[in-house]
Amino acid sequence: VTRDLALGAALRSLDVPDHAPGFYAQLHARLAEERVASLDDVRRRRRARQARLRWAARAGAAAAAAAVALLFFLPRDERVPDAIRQETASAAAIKAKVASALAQARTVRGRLVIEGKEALVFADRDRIAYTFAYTEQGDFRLHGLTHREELAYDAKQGVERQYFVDSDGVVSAGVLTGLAPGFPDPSPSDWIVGRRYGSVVRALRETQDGVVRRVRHKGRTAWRLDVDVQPSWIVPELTADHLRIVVDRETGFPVAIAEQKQGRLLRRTTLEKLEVNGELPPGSFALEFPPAAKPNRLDLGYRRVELSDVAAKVGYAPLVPAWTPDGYELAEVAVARRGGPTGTEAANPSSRMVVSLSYRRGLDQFLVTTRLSRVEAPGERELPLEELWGDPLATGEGYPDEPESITLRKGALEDVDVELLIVPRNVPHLWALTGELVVTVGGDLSRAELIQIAESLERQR
Amino acid sequence: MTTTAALGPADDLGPDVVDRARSGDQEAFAALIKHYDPGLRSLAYRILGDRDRMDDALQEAYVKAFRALPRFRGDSSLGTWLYRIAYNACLDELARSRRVVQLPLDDAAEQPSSRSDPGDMVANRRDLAAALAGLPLEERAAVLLVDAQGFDYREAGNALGIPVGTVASRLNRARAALRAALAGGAGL
Repeated sequence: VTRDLALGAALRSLDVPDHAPGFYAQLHARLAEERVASLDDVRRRRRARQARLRWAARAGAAAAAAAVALLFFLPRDERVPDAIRQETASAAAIKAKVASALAQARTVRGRLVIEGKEALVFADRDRIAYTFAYTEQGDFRLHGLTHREELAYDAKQGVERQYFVDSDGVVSAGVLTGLAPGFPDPSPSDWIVGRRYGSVVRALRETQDGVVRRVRHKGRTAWRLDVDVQPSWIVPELTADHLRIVVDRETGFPVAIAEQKQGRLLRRTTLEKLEVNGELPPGSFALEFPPAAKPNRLDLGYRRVELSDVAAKVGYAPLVPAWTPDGYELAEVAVARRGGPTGTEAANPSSRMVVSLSYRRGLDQFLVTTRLSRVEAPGERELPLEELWGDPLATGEGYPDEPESITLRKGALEDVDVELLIVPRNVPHLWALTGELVVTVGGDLSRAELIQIAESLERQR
Repeated sequence: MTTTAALGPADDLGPDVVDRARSGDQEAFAALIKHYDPGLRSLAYRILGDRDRMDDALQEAYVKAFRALPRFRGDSSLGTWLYRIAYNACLDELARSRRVVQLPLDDAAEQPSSRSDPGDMVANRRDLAAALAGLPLEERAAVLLVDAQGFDYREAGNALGIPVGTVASRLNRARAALRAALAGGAGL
């Protein structure tokens, strides 16, 4: 290489301006957007790979909207001047009211409106609206009002049907069978969102530091809860650092949630025309595909069985809680010889011999799941289990969890260390890793209830 | 081969900074960018002629690099790869705007100098900047990468998307013009 050093030095002496002020801030924001797009892309590709269904990407959106609708009724209530009827209310009273409402509801239906950029799910829309219906059995129905999208879930059969018609009139449709009854396994779409959004309200039951005020919402008395939450460290600019939730005082249902970032509204979800415990018309959960639809079909492998048949199916006696909170009853038992990976970004090993026990009480649900902890895959089976497994219900990439470590004192898991996590963005849950099983207990439960259930787990004989 | 800091490896940023950046770690990527930014700014500014357009091009380049980094296979050095992206972003910026580029000639700010007469130095830099601005884009990029940034011919060829022989011929023409300017002549 020949290089003119003197010329090079002279060229380097020429002035070059610094970037304009704000260059790096703008770059940082754009990179954050790229990160979101990248994550979205990863998720889409993963769904596509797993399901090989073109409509899978849409399922998340529909399902999410549905779950939000169920558990939050989004408000435009922030327009109500705070000066009107602002009194400090009792957080305990609100928690009790919300818990009671969810536990006693048999059916709920209404209209869900989501406004604002939902970068991870609704990247192409500023406003979407659905009607929805939900039952205590877990049946779920979503009907798009702003676009052609339909979703119906039959809880008893574990079957979800869905279609979506894009702006060019192309119909994407699919039928998912063999769904698990809930997290952390492949679940109906309402749980996708239920876990992400609905659990905010559930976790509020455990919140001690939220600010509660009494407000007017659409002419009705309501409570407004203000709670600070941790934004994603991956996309901090695009995720909320504050939640403002409005709970209807009479019904005890959350009717609105505003996700804010540094005081700026990121997204508002509103539940309108809410009807609790009303009679649902016949055929509410039926779904007819458009004539042009050619539904893709995918069986996820979870089968409803009797509890007494579980051991024969999976080769081990299931862990069953001897104690459950008042009102909860065993609603579904499902098993799968092989299931999908769990955990943050599905980083855990593939699941084997999964048992999923679903308990319901009104719209509340909790699940006890077990799967074999031993790993078969070459290159993994030699590794310590602790290196292979993480929390199957981890909050997700960008949200580092700080679980509480507890040692159980009774039951089949006596002396086993578990990690317990109750945060607004996730389902309250605990999980344990033993030489044989990965165990999760999670759902609409308090910290004390989670521990008590876990300590009551016994082998079903 | 000698390399300047602008092209050199990012070892001083930490052993895993590239891996972290490739996995999408924004902070690691920002550290990488800041390491290479002075040289990239110099290239973009001399091609585009003003700060706003330089910033626009580098914004695009850095976002593209962030997007593509997970697929970067190391066939060239990371620095070469970044320069290529930045150079292409500059070409895109030129094509997009289709404006006449007013290249910077006002390089008269004080700089450390071994020369005794500051006036001579300022005049020389003005002449050099004018000569550089008068070069065809391709020659300008070649001499900036090789003589100013320390690329070897192969790296410069990779960054500019041209064969090594083409780098050499462009360098010859560019150097002749610039040396004349440095010597105080009007050989442009």
